[in-house]
Amino acid sequence: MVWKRILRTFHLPLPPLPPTIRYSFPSLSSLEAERLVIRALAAEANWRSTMPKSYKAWRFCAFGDVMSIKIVPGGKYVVASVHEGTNRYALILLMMEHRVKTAYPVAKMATPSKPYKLEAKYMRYETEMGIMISYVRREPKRASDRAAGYVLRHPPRHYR
Amino acid sequence: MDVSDYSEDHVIDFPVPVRYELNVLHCPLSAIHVAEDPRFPPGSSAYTARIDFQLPPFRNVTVIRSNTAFDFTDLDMVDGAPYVVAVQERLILFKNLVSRNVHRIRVGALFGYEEEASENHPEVRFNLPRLLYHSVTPVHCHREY
Repeated sequence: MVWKRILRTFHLPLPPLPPTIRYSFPSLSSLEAERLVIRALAAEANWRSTMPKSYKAWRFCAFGDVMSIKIVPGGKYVVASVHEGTNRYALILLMMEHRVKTAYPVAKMATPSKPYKLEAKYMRYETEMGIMISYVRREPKRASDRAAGYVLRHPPRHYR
Repeated sequence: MDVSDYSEDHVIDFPVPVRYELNVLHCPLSAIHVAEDPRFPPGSSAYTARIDFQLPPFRNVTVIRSNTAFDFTDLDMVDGAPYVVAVQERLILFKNLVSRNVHRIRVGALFGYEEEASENHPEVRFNLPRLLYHSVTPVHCHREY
């Protein structure tokens, strides 16, 4: 609880967290509170230094060739467009700093062709807070061209 | 040949006509939290049972189909409502993700470049006398999908 006491009076900008009860002050664990404080201090020190630099680079498996990537504000989640095998494409939602892996895949959706122009933000839709994701994909206009093998034959399918 | 193999950063002369789809998905945090609940470690039978019980985490919100490429897209809240914004050449689309209303704005040429713009974009209408720097012509607002 030492870190939460420090956090309560902390004056520097904190890294953004998902806007849910899970990440509200009472629900934060000591480890999460410590990480928030340490990161805010490190970012401030780095920002004010004469030569700001990146201290750490994360390398993680995205389970396919990454075509493009988008970090959801706050860095807790990452959305990636991946290419699997010869002609399979998918969107993957990865949770960063998961207790099992640096980047743990929490959701995946196959797409009929390559998703690009990824955008992702925390947004409320209907009554639920969540991550809104947009992407563009393209395919042959004529059904005969699609059937001729210009794009992936699999229909979109949700799976985890 | 797969149209997905081509770059999305360049204007491509595709060998076959191509159509474009702007998709918007919503992934509720409640669905994600099921997968990250520390009480159920990944790989355990309890974890698998909870995941299998859930609805798919990605839920379709809207799809905008077009024969013109999308140059720029964004998501944002306007007056408390979620919107997707898309730019196609001189046309800007705003789609309310709740009411499904689509607003279109066709942007004219910069002041002083009307002639050049008319040659390059003969299909675009310009309203020069009314605006100093550029003309913004709301075309119409209607319900789509």
